[in-house]
Amino acid sequence: MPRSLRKGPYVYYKLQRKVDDLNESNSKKVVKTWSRDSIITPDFVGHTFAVHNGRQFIPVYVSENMVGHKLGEFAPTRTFSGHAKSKVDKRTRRA
Amino acid sequence: MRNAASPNHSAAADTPPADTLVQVGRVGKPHGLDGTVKVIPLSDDPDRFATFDTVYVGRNAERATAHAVRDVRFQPHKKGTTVLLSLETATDRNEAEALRRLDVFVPESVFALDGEERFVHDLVGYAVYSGEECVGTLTEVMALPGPDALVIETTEGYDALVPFVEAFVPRIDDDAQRIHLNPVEGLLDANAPGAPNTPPDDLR
Repeated sequence: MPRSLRKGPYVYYKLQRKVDDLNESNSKKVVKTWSRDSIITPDFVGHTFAVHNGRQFIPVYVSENMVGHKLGEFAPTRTFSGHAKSKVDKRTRRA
Repeated sequence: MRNAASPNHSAAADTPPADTLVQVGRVGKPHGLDGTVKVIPLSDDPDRFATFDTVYVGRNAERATAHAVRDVRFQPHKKGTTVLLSLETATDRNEAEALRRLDVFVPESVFALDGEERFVHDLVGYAVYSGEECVGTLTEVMALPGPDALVIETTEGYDALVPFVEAFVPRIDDDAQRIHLNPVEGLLDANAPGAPNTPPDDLR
């Protein structure tokens, strides 16, 4: 059953407090959090969260199309980098 | 059964230098009886296989030999897409079996990178600067569901992660092999050894 709309999205209260402080002071400090189940709300956009994946903090730079997802979706807990030893056709692009 | 990597198996004479070859996959099991092989793509977009006329197959880039591509098909798989590759040089199942576990390469020159797109292996090794200060060396680019993250081995010895976005990486100087960062407070030291690493009590 989906979460009741009456309650609104779940955001860990301390995280919300930190984001509100950043928005009030108009600063862009990285916010460390373990709260992977917090929903990204529009006031998170433009901020960077260091989301713990059980081993390390993964930086998540929040953009508009991430709103409605949970922070943990952007900090995978399992990574496999592959067995290849030579140059592999892996590409990256600056967002 | 012929050895797939032997020079008489294909046109080895026109093999480009090994350092220009990029690995795009690894040969798996034969598929059917006509010499088709399954290829596990290592490329981040398996659809690129459809554009290859010639691939280079071998244990490594130095020993890879040229094989003309006869046909390419794609098969959905629970972990992504499997490529079914038919080569002119493999016409039956035995010849396909000989290619098993070999790596598949193509020359870097067949790829047209658009705009901001870069090969990860080109960026690895670049020095990373924050202002005029060298903060470390790029060791890896971590593919993430959001923007990718640069993994920087800092001069202090730990790995720092930086989102590969224009706000934090405003400039890449390819000539000097330098990446210039514009980090915000707490970005480079989020994973520093001395940093607090325990969640608050009400999240445990």
